[in-house]
Amino acid sequence: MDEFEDLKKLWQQSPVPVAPVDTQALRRANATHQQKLERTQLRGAILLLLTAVYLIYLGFFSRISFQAMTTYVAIVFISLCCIGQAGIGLYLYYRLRSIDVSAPVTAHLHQWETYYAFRKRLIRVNMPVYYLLLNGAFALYFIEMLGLLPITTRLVVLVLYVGWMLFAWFVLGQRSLRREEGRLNGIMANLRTQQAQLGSD
Amino acid sequence: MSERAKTVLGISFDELHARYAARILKLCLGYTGDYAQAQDLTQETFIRVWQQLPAFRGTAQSSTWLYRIAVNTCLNHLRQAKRRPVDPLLPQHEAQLPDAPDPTGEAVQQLYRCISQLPETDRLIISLVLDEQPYAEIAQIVGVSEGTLRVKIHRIKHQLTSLYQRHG
Repeated sequence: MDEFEDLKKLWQQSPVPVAPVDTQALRRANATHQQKLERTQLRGAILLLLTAVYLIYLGFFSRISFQAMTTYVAIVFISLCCIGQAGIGLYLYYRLRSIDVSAPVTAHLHQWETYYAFRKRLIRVNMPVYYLLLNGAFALYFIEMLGLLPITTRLVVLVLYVGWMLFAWFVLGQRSLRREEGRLNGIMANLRTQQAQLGSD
Repeated sequence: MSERAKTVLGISFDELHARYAARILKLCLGYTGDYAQAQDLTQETFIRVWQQLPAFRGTAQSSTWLYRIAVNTCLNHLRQAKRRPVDPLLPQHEAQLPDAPDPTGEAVQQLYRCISQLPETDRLIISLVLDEQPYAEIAQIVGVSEGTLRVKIHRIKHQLTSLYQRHG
């Protein structure tokens, strides 16, 4: 293996200039799939928390006063839905952050598979429950709001509301889940390729 | 930076960077065969090291831990690069280029190119072998047994030398 020893000398003798670490620039330029998954969860959670804070302010601390108790109950329920969903988002963010990038391939793959299985279970249960509770709370909210409007306007508002909810469920929600699943599958497929390469001899 | 840099083991980020940056850069060069990409990956590796440093509990050697992060960073990047083969140079990269002309001779460039033709995990293994890392440590970094690793190294050495002779 003299040829290989020559290559080793060549490798070791080659000087390489090392640049100082520019953390800010690289954080912007080279977001990995893991970071994108983390950011999506964190951003979503923060937005939901802000929504909840805004709704509580609007319902209880602003100059607006509602006539019906059901409207206040609805505001509390909608806020709770937002806070609950934000909590789930923050937990997912924590789970993603806990994935050990310094683990060997097999252990790394196992962590991602565990997360993926958990996420699939969560989506199956969490999304329908979230939508049901949220729409239930909106139904309470509409009792007072729509009661003040003429029948035609009520119908228009209801059609717009239902249309938006269907769009959010079937288009926005599914698109976001597909993107997330694509990223997760991309990570796992890559790790499986590495695992296959390691076990090929 | 220095406040956060100390870990329970007393290893600072600056020490890690000073000790391993050149080695990690070579590892990344072996992976990509491209100096600008290797620079990016080295920096990204150290960003992750920086982020993970407070969580490092010393269950592995610091070098093993750092190499694993480098390996995962490289492999993650290559997967993205396959999907998006041409990434435009960003201003911060371009700013570095005039100061970083071809740092090595043609023979070394050829060696890097040959390594980058191997399968991804083989690139990692042979780069570590070329850097004279102990086999036990390489086995830990890659996550295979030492016996399996020896078989692999034997095969990769043959592959690399024949590739180099063919192109050299």
